[in-house]
Amino acid sequence: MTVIDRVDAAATSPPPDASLRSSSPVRLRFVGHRGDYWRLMIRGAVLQAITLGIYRFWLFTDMRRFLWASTEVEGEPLEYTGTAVELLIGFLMALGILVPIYALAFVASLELGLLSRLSGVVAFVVLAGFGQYAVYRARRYRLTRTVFRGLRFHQGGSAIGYAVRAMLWWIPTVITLGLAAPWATANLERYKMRNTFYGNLGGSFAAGGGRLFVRGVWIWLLIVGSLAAGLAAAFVMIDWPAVGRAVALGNFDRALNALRGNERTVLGLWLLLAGVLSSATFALVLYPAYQAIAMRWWLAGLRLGGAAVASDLRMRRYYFAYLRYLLYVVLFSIAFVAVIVIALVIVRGLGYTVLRGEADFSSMSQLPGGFVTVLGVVAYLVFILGVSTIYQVVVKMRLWQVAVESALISGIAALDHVQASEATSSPFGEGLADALGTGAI
Amino acid sequence: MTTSGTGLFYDGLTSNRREVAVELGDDAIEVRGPDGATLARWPFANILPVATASGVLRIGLAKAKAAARLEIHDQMLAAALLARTKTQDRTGLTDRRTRARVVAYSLAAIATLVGGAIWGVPLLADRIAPHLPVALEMRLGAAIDTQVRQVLSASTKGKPLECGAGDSPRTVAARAAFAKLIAALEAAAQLPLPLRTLVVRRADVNAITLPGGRIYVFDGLLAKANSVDEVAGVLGHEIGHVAHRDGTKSVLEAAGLSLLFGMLLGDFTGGGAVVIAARTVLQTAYSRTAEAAADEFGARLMHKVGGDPQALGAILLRISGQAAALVPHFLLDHPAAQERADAIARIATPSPTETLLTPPEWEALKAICTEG
Repeated sequence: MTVIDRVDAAATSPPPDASLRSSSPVRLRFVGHRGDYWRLMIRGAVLQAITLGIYRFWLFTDMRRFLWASTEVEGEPLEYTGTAVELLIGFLMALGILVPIYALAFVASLELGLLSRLSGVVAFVVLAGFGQYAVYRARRYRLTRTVFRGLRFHQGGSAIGYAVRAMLWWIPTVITLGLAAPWATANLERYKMRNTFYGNLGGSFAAGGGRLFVRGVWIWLLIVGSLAAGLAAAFVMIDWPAVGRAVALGNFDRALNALRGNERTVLGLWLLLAGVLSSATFALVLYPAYQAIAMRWWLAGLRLGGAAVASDLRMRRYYFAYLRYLLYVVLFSIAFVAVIVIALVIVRGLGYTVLRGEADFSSMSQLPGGFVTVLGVVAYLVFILGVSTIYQVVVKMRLWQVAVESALISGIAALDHVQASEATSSPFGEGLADALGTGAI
Repeated sequence: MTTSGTGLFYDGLTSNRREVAVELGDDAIEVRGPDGATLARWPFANILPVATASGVLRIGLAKAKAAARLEIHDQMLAAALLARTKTQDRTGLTDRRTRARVVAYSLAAIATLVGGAIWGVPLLADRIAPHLPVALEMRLGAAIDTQVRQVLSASTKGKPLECGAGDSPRTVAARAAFAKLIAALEAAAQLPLPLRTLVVRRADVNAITLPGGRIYVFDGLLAKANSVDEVAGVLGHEIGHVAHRDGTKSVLEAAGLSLLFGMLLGDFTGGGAVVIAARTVLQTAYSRTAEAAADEFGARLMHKVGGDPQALGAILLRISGQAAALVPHFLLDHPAAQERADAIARIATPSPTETLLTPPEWEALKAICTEG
């Protein structure tokens, strides 16, 4: 099917005349074809393997161009104007900062035992703060490379200020075991949106932390509650002196034997295990639910001038995406193992033919060692790239599409007569985010 | 051939959308408003298609400050326009020529990286290691020493790790014999740092060297050796590591490899495996080179002190097992035993001229770990 056929078949039509526009909310549309994205990602994975990852800057740029261009408001798509070279230069600049830090960390780890352990904690905090700084700058990069109706977005504010703000919010979040997170998120989103502009039109964020808390606290209760229940049961029922004596025996098997007779303790340990396992299961199973709740809350808070966003996102769409991902990964793994087995059989057969059966090829260890090692590394690389590609298409692109298609914009007339702003943007990519691997699209 | 039509124009200064008339001139595209005024004139050479999902042609002007865009829905006009522009690719994504260039440059970069790792890193480590202050290496050695002692002590079954520390006459004699042997070797070697040698209680037939001049000789080696020359040969090899500052060198090489591969390549999906594989292959290569050099140093040292240089080759051949045969050659961190024996034979002339320890001294040394 050529592009021309596709155009005729496409549902897109020239945007409506302004005078005919009704005042009812406008729904965003996602018009990209998943087949095109699969092709893009598979080709990208192959080229990443060949170039040992150097191609990733071109792939990320293409991905963003595709996703932005597939997102339409009233028939007019977004546009991504970033280039791969910007990302590459940003990455090299980030290396210039990170290399000395890593070198120092390496030297420190050799020299002084206690300091190196402390420096591990310090390094973790510094890098995490750095991560927030990088996230803010990456957002600015993506905004300034986004064009809509010929005008660019831009972002003011200070990345360092944002990083400090985010780190300060960690304190109450950690103290309350995560309960403060909704207010932290709301505060940070308000900061980001206050500094977000479309041309000369400013943004804001209208969703409160309380609403996110109310919608999501049941998840927190299930996860933390089951863990707490297990811990409480263990604390009450376990005979701690007996456990202390058993541990002092120094041998795991003997310790277990010593405790076997103590029924309350055994039950306490089982309850602890049950608590931990159920908490972990809840966390895993409810993660898509939390993502859906947070996304819907976030979309509903976005404001740009007089335009407001609402969302009717359904949680089940997230679950369908993840389940489809699991299915594809299982199928891919089966196919992958089958290919490896066939390849090994062929090689053994060839080897047998070449040596005319002089060597005993009855066991795998008779294959040339170098070949097996190389095959192992290549196979691992192929598998990892395959799973990652499936994730990008089946989960990330799908969830982008789901979010876009759930968004309703009211008051869209506010976007009609915006002026371009004079704000300039850095010519280099905000490569720090890439160097630290923050993982967003 | 279509040369005119309609389009939608965004001027990049406001968010207004305008219906415009489009005309393809000789060298530029002209955009005119409803009142006939020319809104834009873009030379064909500077026109870039923009990514679109729906097949509509959207173009912009390269290197313009304002992001003005023109949208053309008329496919005939779009085709005619594209025929005149620099790129035929209307998808706005990376085109094939750019992809090929990226692959070519990447392969060149990787080749440079690999070349740097194979030759550059050991060369730099060679040059830098001798200039690092001895004090630094001593501290490094002290840090590693604590961990090594912990590991070695795990198998001594409660007895002290160090042999020859007691006060009985036999232990004193053993200690003296050992000191005499070490002194002879150390005097001839002219090392940049002092040696600290110990015999430790461990059944493996081996000896290890840590940065900072610490050499641990395992009890198993003394048991398996047939003559003092064999032990002296192994000691000579270990002293070779000290003389070449191999401990420091390997730390520098590890850091260099971490930098090259870890930083530049470890960042993408699956990169970790490439990094680990590259580091393993390269570090074992560096190690084989260092071991061969230590063999050579040991043989020459034995010459100088008047021992039998071939003895090291003999004991290597005797203790080499079948285990090495299953590991691929490029993953071995020592060269194969036969290779080493051959290399030593090439340097060595056979006749010993002095006995390093008298037979009673040798007997005492062999028993150093049996008491205290």
